[in-house]
Amino acid sequence: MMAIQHRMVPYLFVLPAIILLLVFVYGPAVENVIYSLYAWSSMSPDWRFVGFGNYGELFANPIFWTALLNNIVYAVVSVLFQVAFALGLAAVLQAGVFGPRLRSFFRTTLFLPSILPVTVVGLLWQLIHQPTIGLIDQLLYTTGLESLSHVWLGEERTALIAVVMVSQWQWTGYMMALFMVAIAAIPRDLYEALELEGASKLQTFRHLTVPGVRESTLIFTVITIFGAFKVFDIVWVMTAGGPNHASEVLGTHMYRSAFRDDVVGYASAVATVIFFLTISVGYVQLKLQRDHG
Amino acid sequence: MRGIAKSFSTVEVLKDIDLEVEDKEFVVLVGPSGCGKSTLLRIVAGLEEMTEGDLFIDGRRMNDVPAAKRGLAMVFQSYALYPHMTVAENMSVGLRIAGERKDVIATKVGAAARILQLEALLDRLPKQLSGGQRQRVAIGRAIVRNPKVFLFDEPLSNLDAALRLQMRLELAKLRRELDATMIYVTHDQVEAMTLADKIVVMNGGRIEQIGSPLELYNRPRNLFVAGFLGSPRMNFLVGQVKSQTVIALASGGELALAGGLESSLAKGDKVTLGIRPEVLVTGVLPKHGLSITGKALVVERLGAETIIYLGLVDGAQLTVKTDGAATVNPGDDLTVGVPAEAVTLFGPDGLALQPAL
Amino acid sequence: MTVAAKSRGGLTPAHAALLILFWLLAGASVYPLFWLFMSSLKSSPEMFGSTWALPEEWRWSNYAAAWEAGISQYLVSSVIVTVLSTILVVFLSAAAAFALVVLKFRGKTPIYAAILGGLILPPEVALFPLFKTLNTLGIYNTYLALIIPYVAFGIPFTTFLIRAYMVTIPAELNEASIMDGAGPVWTFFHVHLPLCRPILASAALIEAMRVWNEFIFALTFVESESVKTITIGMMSFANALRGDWAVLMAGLAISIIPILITFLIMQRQFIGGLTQGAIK
Repeated sequence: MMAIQHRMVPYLFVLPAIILLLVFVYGPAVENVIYSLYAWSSMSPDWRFVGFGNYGELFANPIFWTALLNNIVYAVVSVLFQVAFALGLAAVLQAGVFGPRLRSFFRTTLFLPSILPVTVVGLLWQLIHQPTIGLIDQLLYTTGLESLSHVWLGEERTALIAVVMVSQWQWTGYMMALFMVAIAAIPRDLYEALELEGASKLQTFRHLTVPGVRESTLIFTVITIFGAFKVFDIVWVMTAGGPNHASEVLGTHMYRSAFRDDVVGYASAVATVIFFLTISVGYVQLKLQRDHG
Repeated sequence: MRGIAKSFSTVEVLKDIDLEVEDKEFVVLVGPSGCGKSTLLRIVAGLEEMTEGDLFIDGRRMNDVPAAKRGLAMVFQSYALYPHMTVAENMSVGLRIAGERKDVIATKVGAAARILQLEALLDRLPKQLSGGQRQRVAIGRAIVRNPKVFLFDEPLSNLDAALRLQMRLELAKLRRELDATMIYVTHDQVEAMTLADKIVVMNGGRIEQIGSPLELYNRPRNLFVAGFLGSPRMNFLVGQVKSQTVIALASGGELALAGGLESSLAKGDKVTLGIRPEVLVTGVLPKHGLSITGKALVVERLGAETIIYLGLVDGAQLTVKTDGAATVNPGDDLTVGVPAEAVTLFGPDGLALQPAL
Repeated sequence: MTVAAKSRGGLTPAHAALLILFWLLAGASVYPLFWLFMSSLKSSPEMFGSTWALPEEWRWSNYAAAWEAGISQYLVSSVIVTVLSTILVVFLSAAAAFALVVLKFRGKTPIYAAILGGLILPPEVALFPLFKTLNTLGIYNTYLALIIPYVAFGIPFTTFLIRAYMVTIPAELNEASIMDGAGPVWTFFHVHLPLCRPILASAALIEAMRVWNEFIFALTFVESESVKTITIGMMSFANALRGDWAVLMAGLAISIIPILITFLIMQRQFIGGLTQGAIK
């Protein structure tokens, strides 16, 4: 009857979405935790329950700690560039320092890197970082600064920073565009009121712009930190975690354990740690948001 | 005969409504916001379910019949026109869903368009129309369905004052042309008074009174109905029973009744006197009645009439409507009178008393 | 928009400094790409030999070589995966959003929470379990191996986006269609979907971008050259071409030309859609 048909139909609308989510998103998350409690490899069929053994191995593994440290460095640098610096850039553009056409031009050009696929970015910058013949080194040589030259991606001290900076190159413009939208949401009359009182641009920035986008800043910071802990692709393409694990991050560590070293249980433990870290960050965000209302 | 009988209650919103609508009647449900009138309409339409009770149309029980099959059509408050469809498409939606043939659809749409003078606008989109035109399209959509009953949910609330008046007149004309049963919801008592055959005053989920406009105006059953209809609002003065023929007013003065009171009231009981602003007279005071003195606080001269707000000794205020030639100024002392028959007495429970006159 | 700038006089030193800064940043953002395109038209030794100069002769043959070497195959795969994923995601999310906003049924809140919950689960974490599941289902190394997870992970955000837009469609429209005898399916296809066109377009753009550039799933779930998307295919392409840098550049160029052109043409919608989505 019509009544029955009416009752079922809404569920049909959501069913495909829910099923897909359960099987392919939630399911794997749960499975991951379960796998982390066993030691096994995809070659042999036997599983061995080891409880938290994998986690113990994890915390005892110096590579893990290097990776974690690298992620933290990643996070800090990313926040500096993609939040603080981006906000500053956005404020300058939104303050009308340049005319509208120039503003549009700058926004578009700085935004451009973010639409490129990560492989292209990675490969391109690999070539730019090439020792001696790469663009960077060539630049250093022609300006007489050869002493600063390094085997950027091949030296343990510089590998991570090189990759981190490429990430900033790609995403700072994008974040700047986001901030521009957030700043635009601040009502014009507030700016005009401050102008009438004779506030300098810098003062306006500190007292109106920054507080005005506080909510967005918080969200963007969290997203940036999220991204810094999950990062995999750019690192994998440029250095695969090398040289000698110097630029290893949790993401690459996990991938390598699962698909190269074939210690699946351990890999799942790494994945769970990543998940746990991102959840904590998210939780902190919620708390901060609630306190600031 | 097309009649609708409802007796039902929806928890919290509607309590025990019993209402019958006659064939071809124009019934207006009126009341303040939140009184449940829209809910009642939507239950009739089939957009909401009733918790208890039954709905009958033409003698058939409609509780479980889906909205589209009840033979009704509804005109929504904000017209609910599909923004991406032309006027013609908007009006023909129901027919297209039912799978009618193209030529049948065209004829019906054409007929409705003619009645509402929409022929020139058939290919326009809603955003290209004015408020009044959109209103007519919404009505047109209802007409096309050839319903037994038209339901209107505050159709004029979204229009400005001038347009509202114009559309009210058009609705009255339409009503005569279509000769159909209509149930109309509004919070505006002027619309109710001018359009209705039968008014249903609602408040807090209950029906306060049902009757013809003049009936409700002249013989309101309780304080609420009395205060709701009529503009400016009816004056309410506090009084006390002195004897079977005399009521003493807190504002000074006494009301002498020609006949006697209902015996259920005793001396000392509080009553409320309801006096419509327009029945108060300056100048010659009536013999059997009431005279009150006060100071004119504000005088509004509207040209055709003058509205005087009198401040009374006990702080109460009396609104007097008199003709435009009155020469009262703010600060003047004024005595007004009202004949006893023109006073409606309300007992302590708010219900109107029927003094034997 | 922007706050009106007052002084129209000369450049203040601060002004000038900012201008220089922005030009440097803009240059830094764009130059690598410029170098990419220039290099793609040089010969390999020329590429590093005379890095800064314009190409001696414009070797379009590099592009042909890249195309033959397999770029075309990767492009096709990417297009298939992206188009199918995008269509599916937008459709399923719109359906879910429609049910959540318009229809009445029990369990709305938990279902919506379940859909949104997917947002906090990073795909990387699900990598290995998904790998196993896809294997078990027998679809590993097929287009489905990519499409299905992409759709699944794209649903939370897309549903959120579409839903936020759908709530602005007046409920009375749905009621009017009920009075006209329409069922939910008719209303979905004839009322809500057409009215949601703008947000559907934004959502599709965001999804398409995400899927086209996606890396880790594309790396793990397919391995045959015939199925690889361009993002991953580039890696094996680069490996195969060790030394023939210029052709590699041409290959890279081919892979980004579609995106670049689309971007430059539709700048406004692009940036607007992507930033809007992220803000929400």
